[in-house]
Amino acid sequence: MSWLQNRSVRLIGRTLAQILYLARLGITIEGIGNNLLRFFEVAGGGITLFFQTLLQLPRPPYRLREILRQALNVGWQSLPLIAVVLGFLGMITVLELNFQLSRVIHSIEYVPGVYGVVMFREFGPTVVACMIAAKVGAGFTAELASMKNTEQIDALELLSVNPVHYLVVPRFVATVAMQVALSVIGVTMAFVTGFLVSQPRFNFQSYLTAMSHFVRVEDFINLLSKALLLGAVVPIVSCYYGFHSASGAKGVGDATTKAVVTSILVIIILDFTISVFADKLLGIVIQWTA
Amino acid sequence: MTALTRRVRRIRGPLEIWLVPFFSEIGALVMFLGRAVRHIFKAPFEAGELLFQMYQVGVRSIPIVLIAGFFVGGIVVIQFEYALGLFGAEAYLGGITTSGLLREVGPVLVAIMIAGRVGAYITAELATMKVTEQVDAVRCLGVNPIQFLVVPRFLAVTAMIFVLTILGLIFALIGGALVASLILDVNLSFYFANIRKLAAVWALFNGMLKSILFGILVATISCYQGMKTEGGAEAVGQAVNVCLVRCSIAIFLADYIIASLAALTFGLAEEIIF
Repeated sequence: MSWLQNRSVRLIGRTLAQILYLARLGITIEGIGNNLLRFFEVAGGGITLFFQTLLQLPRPPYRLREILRQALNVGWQSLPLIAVVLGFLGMITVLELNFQLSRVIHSIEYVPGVYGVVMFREFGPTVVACMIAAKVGAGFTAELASMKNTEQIDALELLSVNPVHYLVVPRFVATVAMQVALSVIGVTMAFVTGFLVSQPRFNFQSYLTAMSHFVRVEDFINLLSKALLLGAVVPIVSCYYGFHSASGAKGVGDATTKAVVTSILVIIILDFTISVFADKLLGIVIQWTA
Repeated sequence: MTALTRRVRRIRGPLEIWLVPFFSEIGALVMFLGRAVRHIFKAPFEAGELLFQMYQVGVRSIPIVLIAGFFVGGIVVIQFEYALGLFGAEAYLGGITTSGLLREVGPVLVAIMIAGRVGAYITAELATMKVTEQVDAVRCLGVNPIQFLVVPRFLAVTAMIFVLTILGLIFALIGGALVASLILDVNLSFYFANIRKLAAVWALFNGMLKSILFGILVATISCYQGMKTEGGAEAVGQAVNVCLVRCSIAIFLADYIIASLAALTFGLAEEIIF
């Protein structure tokens, strides 16, 4: 290792180390370790909260009125957003598929089929989940964080009311149910606008026929199960960040942005995992039942 | 009173409730954008503040964008492999995925992520400053708040969404290729064979144009919502919510407009470039 003794090499090494230290970009070992620790802390906390919610879910005082109130907040008030966004998404997807497939196979007769498959299996549930995260997740986090700041959560505990049971469970139930409903409505909306864009080439009959060549019942099962699983992400992540927010107005704002971004990230990663394993799992289930 | 005027009266109600606020809001947004752009070129340039905001917006969002880009590339490849396999066109998997990521999925994904991370943060920051009268204090000191607060954030968001889109796209393409070869067992030489044919410079240009436009939209909407807020702490939370909703709608609307323009000019572009 004689080259390590070389003076210029050592100088370059020291300069590099100093630059890295000064830059403080978190590329240092300590930074990586801190980030990893924080990651495991958050992941563990989120999973714990998820299982706590599942445990508290069947316990008796069912707060039906609160669940309905949250469902109104989550479902009805996000309906315009979901309808507009999924409508545009449908038109965009059809236009892009027209463009791509006309270059690949020089005809667009398969466009509705591919569009249906892609929309039902992937874009519908995922985009609805991301929009719910942006519309609702921020509100959940801000609400819970300001409750924590004004010590209302401690007051709940003093009254021997479980905060998870009182605050998280109604939001969880409402969001999961409304996520499924909104996914179905949004995909229907995308179906209609997709038909409108492919109008001159297809009439409604041929549009449906071309779609039914490719879309199968499994795709709808995929849509519903994905909506169910991704719907659990938003309430858990945003309630976790609400419970663990720092104090003050700045803490609430930080928690809100973190909740939205983490929700979208978790949705994407969970969606990837489901996409990898869904077909194999569905194949196994179909083999078992048949 | 004739029947016509009665009918006009009946229409005026929803008109005043929905349409007038809608268009006046869009007008205010455009005027805000105009003011911000005019103040970019005025003399005291806040270079230090601009660099700080670029660090806040850009460097600290890099990990999120890279992770999201990687997984989204994987998702797109998995779904298109299934969809193209239905009519036996798997050979075009690489070309179609790359083209779709470059033109469509990448810019929209990064814009939504940045709207959620940075747009919401900027709105909350500016709204808090407005609510606690710090904006008025800046104006009292003889400094233009648009120039001091809005212009650095506007420039930083617009520039950094462009840069982050490029970074995210690189990782999305890597993720797509890796997932195709490791999980789907697609031969990588087949995967790369059609990319040159299907994803030309035009696709890259389309995507970059979209990312610049999305950057301007996200920056304008988040700064506007922040500077417009009035009231207390609750108004800040509402402003963040409204900002996120408007950003998502604006992004998808702009995406649709550009996609339809691209579809209209497709033949023309084909003749010029190929």
